[in-house]
Amino acid sequence: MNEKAFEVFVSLTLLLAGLLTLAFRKRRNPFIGFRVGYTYHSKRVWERVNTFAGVFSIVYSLLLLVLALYGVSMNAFILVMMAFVGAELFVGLWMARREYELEELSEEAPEKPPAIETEKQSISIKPYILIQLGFLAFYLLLVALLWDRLPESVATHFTASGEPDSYSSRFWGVIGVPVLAWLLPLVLTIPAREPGFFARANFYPRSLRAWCLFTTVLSGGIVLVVTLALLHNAGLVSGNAITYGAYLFLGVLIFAVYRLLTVGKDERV
Amino acid sequence: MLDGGGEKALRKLRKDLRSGLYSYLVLSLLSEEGELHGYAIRKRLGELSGGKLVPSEGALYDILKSLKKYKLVEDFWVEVNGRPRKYYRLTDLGREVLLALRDEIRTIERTLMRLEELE
Repeated sequence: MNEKAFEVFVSLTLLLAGLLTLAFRKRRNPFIGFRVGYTYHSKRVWERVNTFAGVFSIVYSLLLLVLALYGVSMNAFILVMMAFVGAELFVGLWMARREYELEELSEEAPEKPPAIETEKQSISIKPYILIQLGFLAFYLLLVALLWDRLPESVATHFTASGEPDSYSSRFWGVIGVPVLAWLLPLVLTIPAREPGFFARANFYPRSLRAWCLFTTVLSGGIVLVVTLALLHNAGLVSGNAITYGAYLFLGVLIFAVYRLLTVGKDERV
Repeated sequence: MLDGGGEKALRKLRKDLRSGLYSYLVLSLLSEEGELHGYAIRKRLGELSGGKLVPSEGALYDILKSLKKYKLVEDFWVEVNGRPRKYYRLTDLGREVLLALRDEIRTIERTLMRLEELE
């Protein structure tokens, strides 16, 4: 698939996602829509946030389609797409939280917190954030130390047998892409500060700590793989090391997903 | 009966007067009641004022957010019947600020009484 075909495919997929989100804006469900605790627990919040997300997705996917047909580079296309998806997530979450809290003020609840459940249900995400920042600091330190040994064009993607099949400029390949990938689990960790982010449903994480452990393992895995790619580009390890690293990462990730799905609400993680 | 301009001015002054007053009332209520749900705050204010001083949900949301920003109240989530509900309580700083505000309120009360005596 060439670049233009790929960009058109991504734009049309996002357009379909936007249309489906809009179509299901009045029907809460576990599969389609902006699904976080705030939207899942409130009909009003679900409808408002999914109306916004649906319309916003349709508008930016059409814009992406125009960019794809115009023939912009893959890097520019991905940057614009990530900016739109990020903005949608940010505004959607902000809106969901605000609407949920507004609804809280008009929905009758026990005046005082029930005695049996007065324990504060928020957790501190600081240790998990610090560990993830530590991963990034370690990686950036290695980048600084190896910068002069890196070629102008670095390998950014590898086949299953460890052969490079995609290249990029040095800055984008060893800093831009890895930092953007590292941001994903970090952004997913932050909502754990708010217990209202997670729905009280069986298919959602039951333990916020298990969720933070999962995102931190994800962060560690991403940093492991990009570190191996960095070492490979500096000529210090073979392509096979990246393959083994990726398998190790997948193994640990599967374990973290298993813990995420099986750990009890009050169980220590 | 006020004319259009008078109504507009009254609405503006009432809004100004109430915006500060609501913050004081919320702090006082939490000081007396301990932990309360947001809906209960509105309900209690309605009961205490005979339905005349009930902030809208939007106004109370902004008031609580502002009190939280200044660390005068803190909120916490509790799961009730499978749904996260948000409760509020006064902080130590909130208690101190409330005491200082009470002095202000007494001064306002005394001034108003003296003004009435002048009439």
